[in-house]
Amino acid sequence: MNSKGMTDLVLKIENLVVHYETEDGIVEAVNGIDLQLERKRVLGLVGETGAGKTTTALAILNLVPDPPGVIKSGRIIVNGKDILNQDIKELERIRGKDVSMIFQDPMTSLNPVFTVGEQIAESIMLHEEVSKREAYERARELLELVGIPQDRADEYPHQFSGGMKQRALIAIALACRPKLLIADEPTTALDVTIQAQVLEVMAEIKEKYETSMIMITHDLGIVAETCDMVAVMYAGKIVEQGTLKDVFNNTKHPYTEGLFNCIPKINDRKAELIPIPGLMPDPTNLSRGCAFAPRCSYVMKECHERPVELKRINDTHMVACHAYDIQDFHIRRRVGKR
Amino acid sequence: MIRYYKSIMIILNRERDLMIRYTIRRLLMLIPILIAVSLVVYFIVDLAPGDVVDVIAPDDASPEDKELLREMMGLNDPFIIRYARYMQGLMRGDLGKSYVNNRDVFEVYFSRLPNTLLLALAGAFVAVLIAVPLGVVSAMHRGSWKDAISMIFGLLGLSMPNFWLGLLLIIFFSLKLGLFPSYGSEGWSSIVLPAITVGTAQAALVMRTTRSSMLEVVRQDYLRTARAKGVPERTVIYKHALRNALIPIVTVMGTQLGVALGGAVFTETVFAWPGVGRLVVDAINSRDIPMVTGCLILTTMLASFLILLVDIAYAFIDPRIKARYTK
Amino acid sequence: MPIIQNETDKKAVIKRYKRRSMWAEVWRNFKKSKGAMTGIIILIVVLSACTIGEFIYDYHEDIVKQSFDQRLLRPSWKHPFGTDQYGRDIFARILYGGRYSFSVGVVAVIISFSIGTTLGIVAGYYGGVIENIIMRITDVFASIPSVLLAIAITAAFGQSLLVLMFAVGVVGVPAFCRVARASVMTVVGQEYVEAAHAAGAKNWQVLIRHIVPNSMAPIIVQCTLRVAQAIITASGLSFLGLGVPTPSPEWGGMLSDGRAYIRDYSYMTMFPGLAIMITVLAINLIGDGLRDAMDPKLKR
Repeated sequence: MNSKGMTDLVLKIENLVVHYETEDGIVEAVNGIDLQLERKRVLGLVGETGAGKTTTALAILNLVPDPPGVIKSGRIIVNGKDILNQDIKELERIRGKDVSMIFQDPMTSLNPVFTVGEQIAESIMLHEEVSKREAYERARELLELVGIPQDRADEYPHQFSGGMKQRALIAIALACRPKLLIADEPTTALDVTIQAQVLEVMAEIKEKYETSMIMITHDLGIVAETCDMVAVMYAGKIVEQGTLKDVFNNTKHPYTEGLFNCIPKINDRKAELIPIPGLMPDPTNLSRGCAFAPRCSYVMKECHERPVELKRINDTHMVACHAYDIQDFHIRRRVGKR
Repeated sequence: MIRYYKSIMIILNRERDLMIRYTIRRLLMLIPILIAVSLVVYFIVDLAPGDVVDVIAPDDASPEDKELLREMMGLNDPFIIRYARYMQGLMRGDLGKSYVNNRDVFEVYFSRLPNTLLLALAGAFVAVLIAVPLGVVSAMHRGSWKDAISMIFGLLGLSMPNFWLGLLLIIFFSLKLGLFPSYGSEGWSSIVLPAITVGTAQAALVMRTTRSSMLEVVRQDYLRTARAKGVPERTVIYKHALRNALIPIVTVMGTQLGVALGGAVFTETVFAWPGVGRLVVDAINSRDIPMVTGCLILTTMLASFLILLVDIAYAFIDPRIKARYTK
Repeated sequence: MPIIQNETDKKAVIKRYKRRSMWAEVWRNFKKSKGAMTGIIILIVVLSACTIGEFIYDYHEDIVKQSFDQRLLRPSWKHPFGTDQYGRDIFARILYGGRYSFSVGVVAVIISFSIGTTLGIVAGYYGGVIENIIMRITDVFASIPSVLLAIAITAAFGQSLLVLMFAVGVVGVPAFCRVARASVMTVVGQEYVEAAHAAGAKNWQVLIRHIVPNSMAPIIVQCTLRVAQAIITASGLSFLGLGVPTPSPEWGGMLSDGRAYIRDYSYMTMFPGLAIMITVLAINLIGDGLRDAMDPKLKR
């Protein structure tokens, strides 16, 4: 707000901790993460299912389901507004206007009893002083923009295919030109052929509306295609963070390395895929040390004992791994160019 | 003529046209059901011992005379012939005359029906007014004291026989407090207690249905989408969620209107309300067979018709069902 | 080193896993429900009171014998619920009358259950023409308002406890048929049924081993809730004078007696109605508890 550097930040998350307090124990979903996103940039949030990506995204909208979700601590600033300290009225103004979200499953994310046009127009009418007619007119234009013929605005979601539903959801999310768009695995539920189309639509509109974006995914291919920045999450923590180049070409964390090793290589199809051994730790019972330690091939004694923190490698690149306390440590990134 | 029809069809939009066709098709499909239902009812009542001759013949008539009378009246004809004759009469609006007072069954029934419908609708009004908001609040605050109170209301309403509830209302509001009359159908105040009696059981069911239906709906992803685009919480619940939760609620409301037609026998007995329910009970007590048969068949037909209306109402609530109908 | 070393241990482990099967899970959830436990306690109290009543009262001496010097006495220590217009003790009559409500409730539900569930399972499993015929007949019976159907049956066969059971039982058939069919249809679509067929099991084997046990949950819930419903319907018919004939102390019939004295002796209508409501409430509580315990979707 005051300095020039601040105004360029669309999103700033500080020390976010989110727990789900269930009957079977406390699920530590997000355990103190810090993130920043500049205008017009795209951040890839990468990790396995259950790493806390979606919870982080919901926290940005202050929509973590409560109960059982509790935001224990942290600060989230979107577009200069402190999300966690707004009254509900103000929050409703922010949602959809400053920040909006596209969800994972397009099949169930549209309301079956309203027409698609109605659902887009509703968003416009909520945030802008327009007549009903104007809102519907703009809804049609938005549909056109995401590649759906205007006259299908009067149809119901069940008349749309999966790809079209996701496009419609993109139209809803972008209806009021939000400063920040969160896309939570927007293509996971879609056929591979449709995935590319949807990503393309998103990229186009983002460019046109100058929207910043968080792309949540476990698909490193999508990250490479769409993102400028990458943050890798594991068990509710960010383990590696940097520019696309930092993380992809100069991988530091053993977990990130593991992720790369389990995707097939286009130019070396015979290369063996190396799965990461073991499973994600039980989030109700996290150890004090590095959560990845039990699965890590470089594990040392202190990994189990001492908590890890993100450490700076250069201006943009950070990693949370004890191994870098040792001089000359290198991970064995599998050969092959990207 | 055909051209004229065609231009009308073009004017009507396609979807409405399809809905009308669907409705007509359903009405046609209702006919065999109505016939089957009337057959069942006629058959059961026909099993009742004794017949009209025992009632109308003079006491000193000999068994032979009675038998002759039976033959003349066609009472010895095979069941199916008697049934066919009865249904022919039904088509003409002639269901015979009461044994007791010789009044036309069809006429008496339809003179009583408005009272019963009034009571059923008043009951439904009470039910919806109380039950839907209660069910929504209960589901939204699951596990809270609000939920507990609603659930206790629902359980009591469901467990209380409505004839007893009617008597309790009479004891307190009529005899002790003198607020409302305890019987009859004169003036607006006399409908209050019967309507509450009919409405409470319905309200309990509707409230429980609303609650469980809402609990099902509130977990749906599309509500998260609505919240994420900034829809106020009230609108999320009363527009986005309730509209989706409506199908089971409408089903219960519809079947309850049918039940209210039958259940009216209790309420109308308790409050001496001059509807078809009391007509049935009186007819049974006086062994007035034509009246019993007529009342049962007509009420059953009416109930089937109501169920059909509910089915059609679904289409206006849920476009997916409409799509299935109009296919 | 293997974790399980000998046969006995193995058996113990298997036994433990079996005990944590679906029914164990249901029981665990059921026990947690305060409402259901309240229902069970109430039901036990009511049932044992009625059983005791069965032993200490003599039908001719205490239940139906009229003593005019004792008529219309308000509740007191000697007559906790007062006496009726014939000087009979209402408390004794209510305890004794429980047998009618419970027997009608249980027998009627056994009738509806056995007919309805069989038809529903057959319809749901075989489908096609058989299903169509069964379901259309069900539609016909379901579209007759249940009270009217019951009235018609009692009118046709006369007044007796047996007819009442039959009438209330028949009325419940369509509901069981529909629930059973719907439940079976969801189970039939499951992979393990397909797997059983693929493994060469015969139709009846699949039906008995897989379909029936897995589609029982909603039917059991339906059973409890129908018992409650049946008790209300039966007492309603008696209230109209179409159920258990007087002077038997059926709760609905007693209510009907009380109506004539409602102005000055309202206790005569209070207690029989209260008996019906408490019994039905207890059963409904148990039914609700069972449903919640069996419905994994609502647990969260």
